[in-house]
Amino acid sequence: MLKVGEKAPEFEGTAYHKGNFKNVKLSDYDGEWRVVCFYPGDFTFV
Amino acid sequence: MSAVAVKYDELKDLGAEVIAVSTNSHFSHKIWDEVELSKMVEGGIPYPMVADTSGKIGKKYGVYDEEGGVNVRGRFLIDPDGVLQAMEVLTPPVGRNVSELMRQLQAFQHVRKTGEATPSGWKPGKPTLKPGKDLVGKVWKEWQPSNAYGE
Repeated sequence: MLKVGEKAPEFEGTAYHKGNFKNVKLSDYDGEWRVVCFYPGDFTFV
Repeated sequence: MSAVAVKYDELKDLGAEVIAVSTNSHFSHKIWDEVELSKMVEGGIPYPMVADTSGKIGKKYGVYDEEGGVNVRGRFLIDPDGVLQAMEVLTPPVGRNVSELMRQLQAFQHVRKTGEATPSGWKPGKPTLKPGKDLVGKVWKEWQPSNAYGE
């Protein structure tokens, strides 16, 4: 169970980023604030 | 996701990076950006869009909907130490409020820097509270509910 105040789960996956494909990990951005946004799907309306 | 993209520069200025995740493939992300999002956001989506085709990442964050096979709309604010500070999860038809995300980010940053607490509706420039023995039972002297609203 995810809880605020605890370490956010590490993840990694293939990403599309500005024209390229690359591997992205949450920990790639250690030392920075991060906003992780899940959304239901590409081509959805809101 | 385009609403987050147009605020990306402001988020970057605040020292925050955005990572978007859905169960679509990275190929699908590319096409969506090229044919649609780049027409709503100058230069296209500036942040990485991660493919979570198995829902593995969504399951870790409690946003994977088994029935639909998709990740519902979840937003997680993570500090520089990797600690989860805030989360918001919505069912798909209602979009997020990016202004509220920015407000929370600024509040968490203020708390991290000063050790003060930010009361309801706090925005930069509004009064904060300094928790301690002298404040017990005396919040009413420092803060009124009307402070939560307006500028």
